[in-house]
Formats: sequence, C-alpha cells, structure tokens
Amino acid sequence: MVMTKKSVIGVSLGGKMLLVGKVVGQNVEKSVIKKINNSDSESEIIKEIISTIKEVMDDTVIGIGFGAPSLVDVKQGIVYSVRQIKSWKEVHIKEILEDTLNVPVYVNNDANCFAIGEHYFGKGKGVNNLIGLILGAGVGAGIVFKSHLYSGSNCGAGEYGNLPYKKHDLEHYLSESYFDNKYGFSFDSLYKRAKNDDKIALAIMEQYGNDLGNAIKMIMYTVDPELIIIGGPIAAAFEYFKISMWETVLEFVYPHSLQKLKIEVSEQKDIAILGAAALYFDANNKIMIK
Amino acid sequence: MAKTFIGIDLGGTKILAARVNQAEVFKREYRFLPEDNGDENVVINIMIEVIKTLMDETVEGIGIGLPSIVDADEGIVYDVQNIPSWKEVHLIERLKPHFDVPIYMNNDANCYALGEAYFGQGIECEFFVGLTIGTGLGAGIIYNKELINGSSGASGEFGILPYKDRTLEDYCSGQFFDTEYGINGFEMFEMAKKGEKVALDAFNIFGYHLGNAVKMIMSTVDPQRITIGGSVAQSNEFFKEKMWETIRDYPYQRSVDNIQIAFSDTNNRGMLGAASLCFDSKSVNI
Repeated sequence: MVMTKKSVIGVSLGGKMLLVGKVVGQNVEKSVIKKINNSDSESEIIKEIISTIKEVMDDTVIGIGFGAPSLVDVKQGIVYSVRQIKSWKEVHIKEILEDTLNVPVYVNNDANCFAIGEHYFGKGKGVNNLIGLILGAGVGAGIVFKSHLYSGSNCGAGEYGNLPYKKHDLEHYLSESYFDNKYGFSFDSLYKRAKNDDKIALAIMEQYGNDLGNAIKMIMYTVDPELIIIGGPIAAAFEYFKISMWETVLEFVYPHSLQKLKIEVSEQKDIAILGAAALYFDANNKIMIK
Repeated sequence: MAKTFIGIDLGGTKILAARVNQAEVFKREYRFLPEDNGDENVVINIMIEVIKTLMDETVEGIGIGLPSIVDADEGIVYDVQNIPSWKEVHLIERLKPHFDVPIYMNNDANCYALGEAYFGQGIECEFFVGLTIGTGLGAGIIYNKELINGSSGASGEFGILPYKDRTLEDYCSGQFFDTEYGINGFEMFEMAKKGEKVALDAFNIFGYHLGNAVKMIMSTVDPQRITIGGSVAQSNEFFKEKMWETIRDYPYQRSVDNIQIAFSDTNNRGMLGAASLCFDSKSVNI
C-alpha cells in the first residue's frame, strides 16, 4: 500500500476576506485568498466558501477546520451573528460543509483558532497551558488548557474584552478603534509615526502598554497560564509597548506566577489558516503523520 | 478493602477533617487552633495529630485545603490568614516523614470547587466554577472534573480583579457589609430576616455587584454552572433576585439562557474537596 500524505484544510472567514489553505505537516501548501462582499446573502457567501475550498481540496484531505469572528455552537458547528457579515445570523456551517464535501468539519471562533493554532504550529508548541490574545478590531482570547482548547460551555471563554476596565471595558482601551476615538489617529498611522520616533505616538504606545499590562494581570488572576501569545494587527507594534506592559505586569501579586510567565508575539504568518486547521487536530488530539 | 482518603480543611481558627471515599464519609474529626498559635510547629503538630486519629490501613492519600497562596507543585504554603507564623511552610516536606501515603494540597477555594464537583452540585458538569463568598471571594475552575490550577495556583482569583475603585472582593464578599455599612455580614443577615430596610437594601446592592462578578466569570471561563458556597451564600434569598437581574444584560443571550447558578447546601465541601485532591488523579502531586 502506498502511504499518501494526509492533509487538513483550514478556512478563516473574516468580515472582508476569506482565507482557505491546505495544511500538510507543519506548512500551508496551497492557499487562496478571496475578497468577501459582506453584503451578499447567506447562501451566496456559502457558495463562495464551498467553491474556494474545492480549489484546494483533493483526496488527501481528511478534515476541515473553520474559524469565524462570531459566537459559535462548537458541538453543532453553528456560527451566530458573524462580525460584519449581516446575512450570517445563524449558519449551520458544519452540517452544510460536511454534506457537500464529505469530510468532518470543526468550527470555532477566530480567537480560539489562534490559540490552538499557536499550540500546534507556533510559539506554543510544547506548552500545555497558554493563552492566545488577539488585539485588533476586537479583543478576544483563546485558552489552551492541558494541550486542549478550552472553549467554555457556550464557546464564550476568553472574552476578556468584556471585562470592565476603567470607565468602559478592556476592549474599549485595547482594540484598534481606541486610537481613532481617543487620539484621532488610526493604528496604522500611529505605528508609522512611532517608527519615526514621533514623541506623541511613542507616548500613546506606552499608555497602551500599561493598559495591556493590566489586561494580562487579569488573565493571570483568572487562568494563570505559562505563556501568553499576542496576535492580531496591533501585535506588530509590540516593541513600542512591550516595556510599559512588563512594568505593569510586574506589579502582579503572585511572584511565582511571574517567574514562570512568558509573553511572546505570534510570528506565524499563516496562523489564520493553520489555526482553523488545528481545530481538526484538537478534536482528534493526534499529531499528523508526515 | 475499599480505598479511603483523608481530607483536611485548615481554617484560620479550626481544622475540619474526615476519612472518606468517593461515596461516603467514614469518620470525622475537628480541632480548634489555640488563639495564640505560636511558632509554625504548633499548627503542624495539631494537623499531624488529627491525621493520625483518622489514619488506618485503607487510607491511600491525604489532601489538604489551605486559606492562602499555595504552591501545589512544591508543597509550599505562604502567608496563611490568621496563622501569623505560617509565612512560608514547606508543609508536605514536614508531613511526609509521618505518613506513608501521597499528600496533596491546594487552596481552599479550589478544594471547595473540587468538593462540589465530586460530591455536590458540580457532578456531571463539563465546565464548572465553585465560588466561595465569606470574608473573601475565591473560586476554583473545574473542567471535566479536573482543576484548572494555573502555572502557580493563581487561577480563579477573581476577587483580585479590578472593579470600580477597588477590587471585586471588596464588593462581593462579607467585607462589603463591613466597609459600606459598618455591620458584618452575619448581623446584616439577621436584620434582613427581620425585614429591616437598610439590610434589604444592602443585600440588593450586594446582589448587583455579585451579578457583575458572575458576568466577569462568564466572560473569562464560560461555565455551565456556578455553585456559590461560603458563609455569605446562606443569605442568598436576599440578593439572588438582583443578582439575576444584573446577569440578564450580559451581551450573549445564549449564555444568559444557559447559565445555572446554585447555592451550596452544606459547609463540608471544602473538606471533601481536599480529599478529592487525591482522586483528582491528574492533579499535581508530590
């Protein structure tokens, strides 16, 4: 018998973009990026997803992982109220894809995909208890506990953005829109200014680091992980808020947790696809035979 | 012969202990601690004595719950409330020479949660949180009957989360009544039972803060059920309604519809939970 290389497809649905890739071993071998017209109907977008998956699908594929910025019923594979896609109120995506493509499909939210993806393919390899924290349009985290994704009873675990903080909640101070609302700069322009040594931009980044440090302490008081991996667009500017972040984190009251804690930035470029694909490995809890 | 386990619940003023298995309590024991409890050996010796009275050939493990910061990996307990001499006690190292069975330890909130998971209201719950409300606010997070310990035992410390101008514990423990009204929680409960308005209002406000605490727990670990124990839980009839009203505006309706909140019906869960550390086979041991 000839052993064929097995592969898993990762699908990452965003509000504007669809990423689909075939994962073999530790790598994405073939990937497709499509723009999504987020005002399309539910079925048009489903059709687009299926045809895009078929572009990378072949008979080595043993499963599909699907990640979306939404609430998810993990067991039934239903996504609810997907961010920016108005027509996607309740889509039984697992059932639809399994019926069409005849392989098992696993569904979860984007932050959980990120966390389990880092565990299988990124900085979290070999670390049993970690948090993947996404800083971007929203603020959310995925929790990996004893090498398994901990999604919670309603897939609502790790929603640290909801925690009350100062006058609002953590998401208010840590998502991209904060820079626009508070300072009138987009994150991108602020990042550029910081790179040019702009004093104001550097001060804003420093304040951001303080707030992020407080968020990290809140993560430690709740699940006390060994490693926190930061991802999402804001992570690119890590060097500008890293020091003030650590200064705040060092106020944490349990010195033993601090000694063990590592905070890193994701460097895995394909993490959206890999993270979705990692849902397959988490569900089956096995390492792919290369 | 059936295996049994010894559970020890060390409080600031007393030790509660029992020999149990997963279905039954066989023998109980307790000791009050001397008021001026002297150097660290005094309490250690009392603990050894209590264990010895419960010990027999069926005992396969000893579990200890402690009201403080615990390094379960190293078997060290730090800064125990009401026992000033227990600044840093290498407890397992001290007990080991006396007993020929594995010894486990954890903080009291984690033991409470485990006790509920094995003996009480957390049975058959995949995602469970046991919340204790007394002089402080503590919690243990249980996933498939397994304690989420964190890298150094700081998990479940919801009480330390910033809340309003202070921390969640300031508003969601017995301290709230002392600080805001100068009346302790026990007296406040008595007053509420008599229908005194100040007490009814105080519990109402307490219920609001506790509802917010529940939402913070939902945002972070999303349990299927939270069981609330500890001395303040007994007065739940006076704060339950406001607590639920506050929970209902949580942004995810499905989570609000699904969350179950129960109140503990006994005060022996901490001791049973300490024993459960032994059969929580995946728990960190020494």
